Amino acid sequence: MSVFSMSKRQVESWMEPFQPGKDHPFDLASKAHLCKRAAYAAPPSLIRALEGKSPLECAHFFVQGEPESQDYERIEGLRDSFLALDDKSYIAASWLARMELTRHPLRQRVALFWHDHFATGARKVQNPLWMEEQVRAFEEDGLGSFPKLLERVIKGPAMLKWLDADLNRRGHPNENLGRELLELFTLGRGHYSEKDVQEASRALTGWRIHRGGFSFFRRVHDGGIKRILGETGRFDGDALLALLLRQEACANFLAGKLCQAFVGPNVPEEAVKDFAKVLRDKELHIGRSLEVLLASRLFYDPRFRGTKIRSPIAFLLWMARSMEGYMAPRVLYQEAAKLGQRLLDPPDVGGWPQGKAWLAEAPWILRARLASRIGRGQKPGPLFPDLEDRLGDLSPTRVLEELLSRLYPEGLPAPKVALLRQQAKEGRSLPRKQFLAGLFGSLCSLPEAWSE
Amino acid sequence: MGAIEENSLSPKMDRRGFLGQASASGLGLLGLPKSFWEGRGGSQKRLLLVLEFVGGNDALNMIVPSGHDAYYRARPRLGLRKGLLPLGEGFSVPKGMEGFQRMFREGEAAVVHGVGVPSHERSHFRARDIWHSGRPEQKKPQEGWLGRVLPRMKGFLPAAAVGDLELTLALRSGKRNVPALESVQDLQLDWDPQRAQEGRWLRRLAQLQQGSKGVAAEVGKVAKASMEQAERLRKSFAGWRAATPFPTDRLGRGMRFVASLFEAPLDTRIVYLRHFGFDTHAGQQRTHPMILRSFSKAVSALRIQLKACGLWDRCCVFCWSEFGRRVAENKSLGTDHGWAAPVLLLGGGVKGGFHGTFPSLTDLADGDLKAHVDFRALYGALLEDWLGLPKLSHPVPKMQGLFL
Repeated sequence: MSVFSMSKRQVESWMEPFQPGKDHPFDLASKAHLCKRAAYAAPPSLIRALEGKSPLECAHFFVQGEPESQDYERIEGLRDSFLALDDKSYIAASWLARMELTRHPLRQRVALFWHDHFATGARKVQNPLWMEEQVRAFEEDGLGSFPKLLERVIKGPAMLKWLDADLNRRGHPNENLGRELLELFTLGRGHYSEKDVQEASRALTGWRIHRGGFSFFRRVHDGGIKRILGETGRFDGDALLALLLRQEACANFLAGKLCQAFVGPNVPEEAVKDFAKVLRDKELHIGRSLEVLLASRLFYDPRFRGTKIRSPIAFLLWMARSMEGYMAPRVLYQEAAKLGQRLLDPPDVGGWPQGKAWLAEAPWILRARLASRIGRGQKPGPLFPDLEDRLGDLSPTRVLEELLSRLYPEGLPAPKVALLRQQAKEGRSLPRKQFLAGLFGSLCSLPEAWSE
Repeated sequence: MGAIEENSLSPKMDRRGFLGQASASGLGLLGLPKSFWEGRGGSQKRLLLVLEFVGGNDALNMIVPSGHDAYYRARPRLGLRKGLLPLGEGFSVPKGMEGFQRMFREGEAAVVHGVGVPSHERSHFRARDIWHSGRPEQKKPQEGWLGRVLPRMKGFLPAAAVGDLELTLALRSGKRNVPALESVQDLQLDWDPQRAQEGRWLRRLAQLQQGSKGVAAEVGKVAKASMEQAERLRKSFAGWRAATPFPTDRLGRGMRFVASLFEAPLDTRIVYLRHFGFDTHAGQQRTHPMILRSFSKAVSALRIQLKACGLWDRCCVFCWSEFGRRVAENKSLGTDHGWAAPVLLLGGGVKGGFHGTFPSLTDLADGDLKAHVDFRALYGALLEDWLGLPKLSHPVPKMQGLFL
């Protein structure tokens, strides 16, 4: 009996490790699915790296990451000079460069997830240095302990400024920080009352930015007794964080968001609960919990494969990382912005609208245009190395096979492959550039290019 | 004026680009959906161009109270005296705004006095947030006053921001991602179907959109519609010629694109454009007249263009800035952040002339003109009376009598 036929057999937990069997081999399609979700793309080198590994070992591989390349280290080394430019777009571009080049892609994917979770807008913070500090927190602690990450982000000057912590004083509470802390960062709507927000805001009084860093100003702190989520005490900000992290709702909330980010939009509620239990067991350690999720029956269930609409950044990284190339970071930044995702400037505290919100006619054209422009590779091309250099003098049909194995290792419907073969065949009589533009443009404008 | 009259009875108003090109390319009249044939011109829907003067426009040196001594007393060095172009009622515009003056005299420009946010707000950031959201009570607004109505609008591209990568808050919506466009090309595929090879690819690309499963099947549907729309656009824009030269500066180029968006069969009703350089703390006698001239010239070109295709009567250009500037000049030949300022409405359907009362130049709020018209009164009028959107709930009554 199929392990996927839930209705017939009550399963223990959706978080049980995926057990490859005859009906459900741990095949190329499964591995490509994992690579695309954990690393945006599944180039052949990455698939090869998974050879001989079990699903658990594969998940471990992505959580651990590989040592970074020299190119990456060079980019990393340039961070401080970008800072000196005092321009948020350089901070964003340098982050995108790290996303393209990293050999620890899951770390960057999770960092971007946190940017969406803790959505902070540079346009209000107006201090690139503070935004950079927040990005560092996402990159360094994103796969670590959530309590540590939460504290670091929420006490970061970017967040304090974004949510007006300075305006929150004893006797004059400002609920901005308190409300978002409960609603967006830890518990989610429906798991607290308005009174809890007011009391939590009192606990947070005295948190200020001082000389570019966090500081606790006892003078403006409300040291009185508060009653929050059923507990009474002289809560300060730190005690409040500890209280929130203890709530069952916190793990549930994070589990829901992580499932949506890594499994898809329609994860059953019981599965989310099962993952929340994992999170609690691992004391909200994100990396260790993701290791379980990415090896779980839930994750490999065919029903959830290909169900996630790619955001513009995910789309761009899919193309670049599939070709094991990169786009100039400033270009990448601008292209993503044009497609509607301007890094460090999410539309609101709730992050970017997800999934189908991206899908519309004008954005479809923008993505298709970009794909054929990459194919054309007019130097300096948007993608390096240029396709022409990357693919050498392979015959047109070999070019198609090569591109298919990079972009769609899990395969495409047969009639589509037949159409593409025809296009490749006709390519013999064309100038190389024109041929590549057409073929790459077609491949990256397929409906399948929009989801992972 | 009805759609049919426009299209068939006034050939000189015929939108040569769209309609002419369509028949020239063999599509003719038949076989095309009615919506395409009628294009924009066939619809009675009204258009709104929002033009933001970014930085806080010194409106006292734009709609100059040249009949008021208090103005010259407060501005001994910056007060404009020479070459003024009178509007009447003791107001003038500076030299360079001849185009605007003409529009005003012909009753196609409205000046609404004394508009501002309800509380005296001198931070660019905060004032802009309030204007953009239309929600002064919100500490950090998430949705724009236009973004909020977008889900009610249908069509291919109901709204667009032009020439701007950073999508303005005014158009932000939690429900729909709005594209920011730099040029017409952004809406067309890179492939040229006139070239045999690429034409074949395009047909094949359309075939490739079929036969997908799950989410991809939904993408395929959108893709198919997009490709059809892109092709229609390509044909349209291929023949589009501006009826008048547009200025070649940033604003002029943007304005030209706006005209083409309104004329194209895109269902575009709201376009957002920004004009920069208004934060004139120093040396404004040089820069301010320049950007005003650029505004006047660009909007005059738009008027000629839209008149030529019969759209001017259905278009309203709404010009605003986050605040006006201090009445008294500062020591650096500039002006600092102020409060109230007039808002301009331009278009064939606008009831021209002065609206409201001019704020006192002597009874000031900490040196600034007092706002006595809540900016939301304009929004209400624009959304309901102009765009004809279903009744919205307004915290303040909408302004009456702005449109014909």
